[in-house]
Amino acid sequence: MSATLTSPALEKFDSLDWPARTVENWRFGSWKEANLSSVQPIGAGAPADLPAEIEGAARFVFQNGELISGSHEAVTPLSESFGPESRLGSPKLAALHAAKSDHGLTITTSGEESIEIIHLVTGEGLLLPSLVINAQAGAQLRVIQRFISTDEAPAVVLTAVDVNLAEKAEVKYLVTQELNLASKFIRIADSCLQSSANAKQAIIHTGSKWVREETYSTVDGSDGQSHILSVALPDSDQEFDQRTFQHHGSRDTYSNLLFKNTLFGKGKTIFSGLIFVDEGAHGTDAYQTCRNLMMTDHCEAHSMPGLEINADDVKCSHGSTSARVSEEEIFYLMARGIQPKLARSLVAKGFSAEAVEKLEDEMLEALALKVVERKFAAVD
Amino acid sequence: MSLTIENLQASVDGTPILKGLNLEIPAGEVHAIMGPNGSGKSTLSKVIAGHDDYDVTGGKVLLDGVDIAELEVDERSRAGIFLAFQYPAEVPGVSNANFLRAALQARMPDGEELDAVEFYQSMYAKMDELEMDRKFTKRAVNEGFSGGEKKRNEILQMMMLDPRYALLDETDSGLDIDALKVVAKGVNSMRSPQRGFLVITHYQRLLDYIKPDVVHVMSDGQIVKSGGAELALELEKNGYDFLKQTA
Repeated sequence: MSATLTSPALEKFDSLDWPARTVENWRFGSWKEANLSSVQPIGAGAPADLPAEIEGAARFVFQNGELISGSHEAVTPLSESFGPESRLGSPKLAALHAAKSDHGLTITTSGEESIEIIHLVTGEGLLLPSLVINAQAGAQLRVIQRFISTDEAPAVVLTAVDVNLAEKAEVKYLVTQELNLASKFIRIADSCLQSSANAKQAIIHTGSKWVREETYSTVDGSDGQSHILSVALPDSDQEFDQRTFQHHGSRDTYSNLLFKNTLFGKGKTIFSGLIFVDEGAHGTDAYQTCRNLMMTDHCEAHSMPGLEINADDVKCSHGSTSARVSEEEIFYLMARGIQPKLARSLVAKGFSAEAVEKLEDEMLEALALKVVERKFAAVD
Repeated sequence: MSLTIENLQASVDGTPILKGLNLEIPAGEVHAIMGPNGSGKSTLSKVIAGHDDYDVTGGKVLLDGVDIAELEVDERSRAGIFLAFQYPAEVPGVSNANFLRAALQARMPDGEELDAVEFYQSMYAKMDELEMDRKFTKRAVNEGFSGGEKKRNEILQMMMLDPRYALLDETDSGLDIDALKVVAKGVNSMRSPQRGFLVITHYQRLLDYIKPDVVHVMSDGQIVKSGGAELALELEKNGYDFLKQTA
């Protein structure tokens, strides 16, 4: 990247190194993909057909970073990055976002709101969207954020999100990553929950040739509940690299992570997750599960679940499985007349649906399943 | 019209289980098979359904005169064979309603869509008959169901798919007496001159509610004795000791 002005953010960016093989947080990952030194800023966007409106949600549409529609009293446009921090291996990328991001939104509310944000991505180059969600005490917020390619050009989306939940706030946040198969997608996500707050965050990855996602969640108030969900459907040579950190900073907190990957073709997934319980965070209840459904002989799944517990009286579990479609289930479906290909597809979709259902929001579930269905149709 | 099994031989991992079994179930009749553990009863039902764990090494299964050896599992189902499983599989994330719709859609001619309203009406009516709560339509297939709920679900599927020949593999296992009556009522409502049943069971109790036309005793992969409904009572009373005497 060439700097035109100096700023603390740019200086920080310049002082850091691109990810390297030796960094533990890049184990099994394609660290070379993260080197964006030769990527130029993306040009002007182009209009495109938009997905069907979501009932009751205020819609904001960006074309290559330019806000072309949308207004809501709880939403303020951003003209610069909020300054994300990567604690999971990508400080250089976070610094790049901090230095260069010039668009995004801040959502601040104590009420009940539904906001949908669509990022249309056109042409080659780097795009750096931001999103800040401030759910104030008692807020009930639903946010949908979609990343959609309008062409087949190799874009790079480096996005950052900061989610803050005050006491008793509830946030349901669904992200769909539907970029073309030439693009890259990098996401740095941070969330912090205060007492009795409840966050359900889900992401559906269907697009991009390479994805790097770093999700850091802190539950910092008693009875706070953080649900982190992901459905990834890599096909052909797609690689989805997801790193997570469930941080329990207070007593009587809960987190539950469920990642479900269905791998087709030569698809590859990397999951590395850590549950970290602070000293004194007694009564923590934390779960972490990554499940991989292997649809071919050529796909590849790496899972590195982890726990670090520094308190007593905690309930924690972590686990990872990789399995093929159960032949018993296939036989059962076929014994009811369902053709073998459809039977496999039903079982695989059901596997993804299990994570989506944890959102406990019919509208969000329907949208997520639609995106999943589209990917299945493309794979078939 | 019948489901006819001629000299059927099948093995699993090289071990013969069915050893020349002969059986004819005419449409309109209910046949029961009883027999000691390990005699091959469940294997018979799975072989008829087409499970590929079993190698058919000889003999034939004829569905209304047509050999089904070359048909895949799903093709056999669409041709009219229904197997109610002893241990139905759980299919996480696939709702009962979507599963049944897919099974019925698979029976539709190309380009024709199942009428969703008719489907739900038909399913609800049958669920009422089986005293099943409607919440089961949204729940994942068999996931978290009790033993009795799974068996009712099997009968619901049978009622929806309207097969020509139904094989009930130990449908009574895991059922309390009330559930057994409900399940039997569902089966009895399906009895017709056009449909045949093969009921596999260990206990005469089921046959109090589903009256068989013929009872067969299976032992060591063969049918060794056949008789009327009274044969089941005799077995209940005397057990299978006579098999040792004739061996």
